[in-house]
Amino acid sequence: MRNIMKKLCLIFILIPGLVFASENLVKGQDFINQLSKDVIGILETKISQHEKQEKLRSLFKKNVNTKWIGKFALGKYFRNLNKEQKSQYLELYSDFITENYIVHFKKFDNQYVNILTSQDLDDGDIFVKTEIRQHNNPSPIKIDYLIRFESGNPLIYDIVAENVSLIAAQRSEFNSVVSNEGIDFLLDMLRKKVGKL
Amino acid sequence: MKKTQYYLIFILSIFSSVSFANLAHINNRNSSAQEYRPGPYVANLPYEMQKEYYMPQKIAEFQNVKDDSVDLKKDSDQKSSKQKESAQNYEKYRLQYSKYEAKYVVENEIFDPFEPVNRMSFAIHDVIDKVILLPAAHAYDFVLPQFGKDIVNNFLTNLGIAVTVPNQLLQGKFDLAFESVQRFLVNLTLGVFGMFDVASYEQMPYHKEDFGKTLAFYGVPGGPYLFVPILGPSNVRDLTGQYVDYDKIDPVKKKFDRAQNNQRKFATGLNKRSQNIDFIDNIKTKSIDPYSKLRSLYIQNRKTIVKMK
Repeated sequence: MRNIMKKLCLIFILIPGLVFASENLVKGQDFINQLSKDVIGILETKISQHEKQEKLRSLFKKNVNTKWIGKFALGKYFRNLNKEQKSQYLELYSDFITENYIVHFKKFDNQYVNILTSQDLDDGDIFVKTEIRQHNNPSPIKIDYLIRFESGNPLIYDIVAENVSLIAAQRSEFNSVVSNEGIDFLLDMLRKKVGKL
Repeated sequence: MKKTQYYLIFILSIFSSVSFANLAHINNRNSSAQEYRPGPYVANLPYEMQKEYYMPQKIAEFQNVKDDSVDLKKDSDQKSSKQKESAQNYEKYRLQYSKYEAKYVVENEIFDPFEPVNRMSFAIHDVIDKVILLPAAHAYDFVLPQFGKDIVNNFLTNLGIAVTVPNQLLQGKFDLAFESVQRFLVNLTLGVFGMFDVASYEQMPYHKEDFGKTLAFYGVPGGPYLFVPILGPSNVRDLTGQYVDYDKIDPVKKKFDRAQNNQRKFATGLNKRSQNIDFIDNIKTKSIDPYSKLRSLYIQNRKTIVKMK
């Protein structure tokens, strides 16, 4: 009798926790889980390097809100741009950040992704913590994702790799460039890096 | 425990679960009220700003203004200058304190008064790196197989525990210090003089400590950012820490003679550089301003490491 009572008590104490774990938390975890499976699926298939990169590129642009990150990276300077510059910048930035990120998938050596926890950030944003386990290496790489739901669809807003936030690093870099060299220099450099000049 | 006590706990737990469930429901319903709740990044704000953030009165005030500003869009002629101003103020406030803007603090925290000098030493380092460090790292990478590199890395990491333990003791982390000593002994014996990292496979993670972290533990701020050729990015506190670690704390250094110490320094540098070939190459080729990118990465990463227990 006592044991049953103990178990029942435990269950009822745990229920509030389950209620609090909102639907979005599960959705966010599933989203990241599916995304990592897709990426590993692409990397494992036997197609040419070029095709792989093309697929990864479209996957990245589909699931990461590059437009928002671009605006955030430029911060206060974004408001001073005219309409044409804005659209130009956002397009360039989207390509730039994608290229920057795709590089990390060059070497694939049977890594796998563990989803550790996810946190609700009070206003519907989800923070999913993951680690990438490497073959023959006991220490994993920590990568966290900030997810926000836009009309029900999850999108990535920030990627925090080994304690370094992508958006904060980008903002710091771009602000330094613009304050030192000006916005035109930044646009030129972006064009150069993307390879459109 | 008596039977009645069990019944009591049972009833209480049902009651609490029901009330918690209600609370969750209410929270979900009033989602607009959560809009101004701080995210975790607010903890990074300076104390004065945090205090303002938590002032519910101020938030309510701005919330009211927000509603006005929505109406104002419909008939813009009736905008009084005062309302306009408060709407602007609201916008300013929102921008300043919204969660992502709070992350902007990371950037504000970049304290680099010696930027011109740092940029110069960054350029000098770049030349040294191109001519000496990178070719040496490539050669090391080419000559030694992964297995050999792992052995070198494990051996040097295990020696590093000699610096970690005194710092853990200085910070009063006695349990971690005990774990570190255990780890050192396991790798020294089972791992054949630290050549194999047995402890990591035995679920004994390595907690690295240094004197810079100890100083931070007692409230010493980082100070200006510094870039030193060969040593890399740092700040005044952590550079001091590095010196104290090497010169005053490290017992291994005292056991070795000068030539051996130089060999160890050389091996440490080579090991570190060869591990970071791709990382540094990415920063150099892919970013627009490598100097400020590296600065941001260093400051963010170091800040989290210092906060970690």
